[in-house]
Order: sequence, then structure tokens, then C-alpha cells
Amino acid sequence: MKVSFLFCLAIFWIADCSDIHAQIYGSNTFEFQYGNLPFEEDTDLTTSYDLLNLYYDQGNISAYGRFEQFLTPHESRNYFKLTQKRLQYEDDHFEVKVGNFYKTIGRGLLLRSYEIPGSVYEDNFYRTRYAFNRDQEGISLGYSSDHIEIVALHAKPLFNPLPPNFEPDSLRRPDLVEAIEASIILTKDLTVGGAYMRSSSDTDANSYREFGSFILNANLPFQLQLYSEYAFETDVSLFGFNPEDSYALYTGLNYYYGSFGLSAEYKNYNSFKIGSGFNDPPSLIKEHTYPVLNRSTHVLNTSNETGFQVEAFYHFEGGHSLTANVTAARNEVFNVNHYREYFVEGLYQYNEFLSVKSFIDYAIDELKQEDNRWSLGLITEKSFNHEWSLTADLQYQTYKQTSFAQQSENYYGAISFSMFPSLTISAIAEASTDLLLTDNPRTFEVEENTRSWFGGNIRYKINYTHTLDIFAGQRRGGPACTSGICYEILDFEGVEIRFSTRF
Amino acid sequence: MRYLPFLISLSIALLFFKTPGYAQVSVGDEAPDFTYSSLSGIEISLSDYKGKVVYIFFYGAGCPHCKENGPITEHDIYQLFKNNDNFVALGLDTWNYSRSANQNFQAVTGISYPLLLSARQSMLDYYGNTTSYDRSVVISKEGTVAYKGTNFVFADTAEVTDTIEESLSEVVTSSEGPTTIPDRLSLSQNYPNPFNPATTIRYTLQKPGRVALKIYNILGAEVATLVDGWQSAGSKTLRWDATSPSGNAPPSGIYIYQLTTADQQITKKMILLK
Repeated sequence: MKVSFLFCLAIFWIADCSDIHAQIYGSNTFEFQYGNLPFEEDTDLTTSYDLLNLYYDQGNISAYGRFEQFLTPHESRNYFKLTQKRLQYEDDHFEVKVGNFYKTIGRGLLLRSYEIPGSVYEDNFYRTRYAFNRDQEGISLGYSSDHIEIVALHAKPLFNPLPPNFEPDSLRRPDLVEAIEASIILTKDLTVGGAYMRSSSDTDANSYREFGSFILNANLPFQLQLYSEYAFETDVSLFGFNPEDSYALYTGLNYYYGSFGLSAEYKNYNSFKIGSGFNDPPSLIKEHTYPVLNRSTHVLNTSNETGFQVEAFYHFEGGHSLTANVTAARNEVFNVNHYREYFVEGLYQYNEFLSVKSFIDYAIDELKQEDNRWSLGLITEKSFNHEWSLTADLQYQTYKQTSFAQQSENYYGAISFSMFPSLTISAIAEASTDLLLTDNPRTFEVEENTRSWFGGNIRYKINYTHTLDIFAGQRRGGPACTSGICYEILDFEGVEIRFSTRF
Repeated sequence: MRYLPFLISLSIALLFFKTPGYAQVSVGDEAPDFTYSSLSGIEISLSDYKGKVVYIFFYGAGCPHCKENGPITEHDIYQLFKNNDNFVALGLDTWNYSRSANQNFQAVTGISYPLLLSARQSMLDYYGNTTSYDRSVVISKEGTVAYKGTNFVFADTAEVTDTIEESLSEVVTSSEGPTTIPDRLSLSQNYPNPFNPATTIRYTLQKPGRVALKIYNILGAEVATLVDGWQSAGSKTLRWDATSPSGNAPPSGIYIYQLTTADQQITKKMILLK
């Protein structure tokens, strides 16, 4: 807390010395919930959550602070904290950051940071809401020129399953990471790089694991683009790929010709969970925005996973497009599990006012015990003179849940009405026969009745800087994946109001 | 600065806002008792196993980490000790998921020891609020906490098995006298067995020294050397992917694996099936 206070004093001091070119700006998100989490004892859920980002810029120097507050009737869940703070210097070549920052080494094989914008995370165990991110706290130095880019850091990544009110706070950052990454731009078509990283855990601060990484980025003939990274623990035989070694190989090849595009990616990861899991190698799984498919996404297992993804697309004249994707993954952690997915999506632009999008997807997911999973969807959007539009979204999914020898079905239907540019009103209905969703954890007897969810959203952009979102009804939870980061969203029923401001 | 009063208010509020902490048990403390329903509907209490060594896997039935690590608890921990009458393993679902979700978790992980439902309170009793899933705890025969993991299960398996071995040897000592203390050099049966294409071999050294672990075919010809050198004391795990040094895959059949130290030798058989 003293650190937070001193940080604020530092901001005041800088602000007090500011000249006419300095500025303070920021954003605020306030969210109020009144309702209930289905199947939970606490049926009177009243919470308020506020997130305030404050920025101060003066020339090459900037300061940043993030405050979060969560209030409920349960004192143990409440907090008000300065959850991020940063002082930064940046010019054309150098960058210095002290405090909380986001740095990724290579493609994230060794270290990855992220923030899911606008997400408010709530864990079913802690029942505390907070911004979902994985930052690092420490110091980072960067240098860049036309021919070289160097990043070095000494920092502690956030272990984000623990909420901000967690005591002791040190357990939220149990790992120390020291890394340096250098990229040399040899030609405009060829960049090579390397990284060294060592990490230790607070439980054994004198014991380090050391890693290296080779990175290649090349534009090849015939409009081919190649990206590859091989990361490894330094005590293994290079490119040995032995079962007892810790390594991660990722490579991708892209090809574009006119309206046609093709990408192929390959991964081979083994024993590559580092520390508390602060690295996130690319998952190479098609990430869908369609709700029935997004929830079904395969979650990467860095203990052992090999696989590939191939995607092709073609944009036709008139705005039509066709996309096809094939994904395969294999895990072997005592048991061998396969994941395979075949996906085709088409967009037909009937005219500038009417479009139809549809998809069909077939998958086998042995790890989730889902066999012969078929998913279908049809989304139609009708615009009326570009002043208002109507969207209907219908999706269906069925699979055999092999742990219960049961055929499960998921239904999704939504209808949205938009008045440009400020108002969107939508209604969503969902239903499922999946036992994992229908069964009530508070009863020993298994409940098999179809479960349904009905809800409605209103989004009103009051002006350029203020937006109001209101949700009422029931929201179906489950896994959600954004930019390769997967997390669990809790079910909710009630009213939720969010007010977002920029200033 | 028009924002100064606002910033000053923020920092003063930060100074005075406190959140309460939680109590938790430490190694050596009496293990908090619990009673929960198992997947099959049987009520199981920790106190039922007084006098036995108990391994507890705290998991969340919906937690991806736990689905990854569940097989490790089964194969690297439970399978090693399950034939010992003084050993019990229990899984506790701390996410309070449904019975169906736990059946799915059992199917996905292949765990064969009892899984207990709606056990969130025990996570708080043992860990306060310091974690919500994926931890190992070992309870001694006296009912005290002998080991409390502070990392994901995959990261401290060796410490867990060492603690269980140590606790089990104390069980034997108290009931049968010091002359029956087993030799700590041990070579476990490989798993899986029969196997294809790879199998795991585990052994424990009671003291550091030169060690060799070799694989022979039924005719006595050496097929592979998995270890030949100096090793520290403790539990070791090796994996053989059924290849010889030349890289050739040996044929199906019975193979012998032999652990040799300066003063002892243990031999076991395994079957490669193609």
C-alpha cells in the first residue's frame, strides 16, 4: 500500500512540474451486477466493479496507473487497489519501462503477456471480479534501429488466477524472469533473432531454469512468408526432440496471391510449461467467434502437443468469400488424445443491404470426450438504407459425449436490431442437453432436463466518449477464447449495467 | 492541476482500504478432517483412514490444468503405492462442480482412486485462499500434514512420492519393528505394461552413487542403456520409447530391465506389444 501511495506522490510531483504540452487522460469502466450465479448458495449477488486507467504524458516521459475497486456484501471479497503502475521513457531508439508492462518474447514460446480488453474476470472459487491480463512487474529496456531490435527485462509475471485482494500479494507473482531478445534485420526480407531467458520460483529462488530460442522471419520467393521459432531448455540436445527434453517448435508459412491466401502452421511442444505457466506458445487451433464453436475450442497442453493447422481463403468479386480450415493436434501425457477439426465458412453478399454467412464444422475431441461433433450456423444481416439493420443468428451443435455415451445438443439463436451509429438491441436464446451443463452440482442425482438461457442486451453510445451497456436475463457461461487465451466465464442471471467513459 | 484533488483522494483511500486474510494449515499441523460424498455416493471422511498415509489431489473438475495433471497423479503417484495396504489416495473437487462434470473428469484423466464431490471448504481449510486447484497434500499416519504442495502437481511429484515413501516406511517401523525396514533401493514395475510405443520406469536410490539401468532381450543381449553414470539419491523416472542405440525398433516380446548400483541389482520384466 505504501508503494501505491508513493506512486501517487510521484505522479503529483511530475504533474506539478508539467508544462503546457503535458496531458492527463484516461478511461473508466463501471459495472454493476444484481442477480445470481445459477446453482450457487448466494442468491443475492450485488456487486459493483470499477476500473480506472490514468495516463500522464509529457514529452518522452509518461506515467500510468490502474485502480480497481470491487464491492460486495462479502467483506473478504472486497478490495480497492492500485493494480498497475508504470513510469516510462521512450524516444526514437530507446525505451525504458519501470513498473507494470506487457512484453512478449518471440511468439510467446518463452514468455507471453496479454490483456483481454473490456473483460472482467470472475473465478468461481474466489468470486472476486478483476481485469483479466497477464502483465509483468519489473523493468524492461529496449533499443531499436533500422537493423537491430533488442529487448531486455527483469520482471515477475502475474499469475492471474489469483485476484488482486489476494494476501500475500507476493504469491500473485511467484516467478522471476530475466530475458534478453535480439532481432537482426539482415535485409528487408530476412530477420533472424535469438533469446535467452532464465527463470526461478520464489519457492526455490536459487534454482534457475535456463532457456534459449532461435527466431527466423523471412519473405521467400513466390510470395511466401516464413516464420519459425524453436525454444528449448539449455540442457537438452539441440533439435533432439527427445521425450524427456523441454522444447517448443513453432513454424508458419503464408502464401498470398491476389484474392487467394493459404497458411500452414506446425507445432511440436514437449514439457514446456514454465514456472506457474507464464508462457503461452501459439495454440494453432482455429479460434472461432461463433459461440457454439468458441466454447468448444481445444485448449493447448504444453506438457505434450504436436499438430498442424492449414487454412485457405478466397475473396470473390462482389464481397463474397470462402474460408476452409483443417486443424489436428495430438497429446500424449500417459494417454494419447487426438483433436481434429474441419471447418468451412462462406459469406454471400447478395447486395449492399443483404448478406448471408454460414458455416459447417466437424470435430473429434478425445480429451473432452466429444465424438462426431457437428456444428452448423446461418447468420443473415439486412441493412435498411444504412440507417438501421436487423441480424438473425442461428447456430446448432451436436456431439456424442463418450463419458456418458450420450448425444448432446446445443442451440443458439440471436436477433439484433441496430440503429447506426448509437443503438444496438439484441435478444439471445440458448438451450443445451449436455449433462455437464444440465446437471445441478447441489444434487447428487444427475439432472438431465434440457437447460435454457434467455437474455437481452442494449448498447447505447451516448456520445464519442460514453457508452452504456445493459444486460438482463440469463447468460450462459463456459470456456471462452480470445487471441489464443482461454478462460472460464461464469453463468449469470440478473441485471448487469456497464458504463464506459474516456476522458 | 485540476485533477490533483481527485488523485489525492485516490491515494488516501488506498492507504485505508484493507482486505482480511485467511488461516491455513502448515506441515506438521493436524490435518483438518472432512466428510464428502464420492462419485458412487459413499460418504468418505479423512478420519476413516487414521493410521494410513493419505495422498490428496485438490482439483477443479472444470480446470484444464487439473485435466492435464490428473493422469500424473494416477500414474506417477497412485499406481506406485496402490498395492500398499497403508496407502490411500483421494481426489477433492474444490470447484464444487456437478457429479456429471466429475464423471467426465474421471473419464478424461483415467483416475481410478475415489473422487469426492463439493469439497471447496477443504481447499480453504488447507490453503486458506492461496490457491483454488491443482495441489498435492500428503497426510501422515498420525493425521498430520506431512507435505503441502505449493506448485502445480506436475512440478512436485518427486517430493510427493518421497514423502509418501518416507511416511509408509514409518508405518512399517511402528507396526513391525525396526528389523523390517525395507531397503530404500527400489525398482517399480514399468507402466504401461504391456506397452507400445513407450513405457515409464521408476526407481528410487537411497544414496548417491554410480547407477546403471539397462534393457536386455530374452536372450540376454543388451538392447538399450537408459542410465550409466553417477546419480543423486531420490526418486527417478525414465521413459523408454522402445528403440535401440542404433535407432532400430526392437520386435515384440519380453524384455528385462535391470537396475545396478555399487552393491545391489534388481531385475524386472516388461512386454513390448506391437
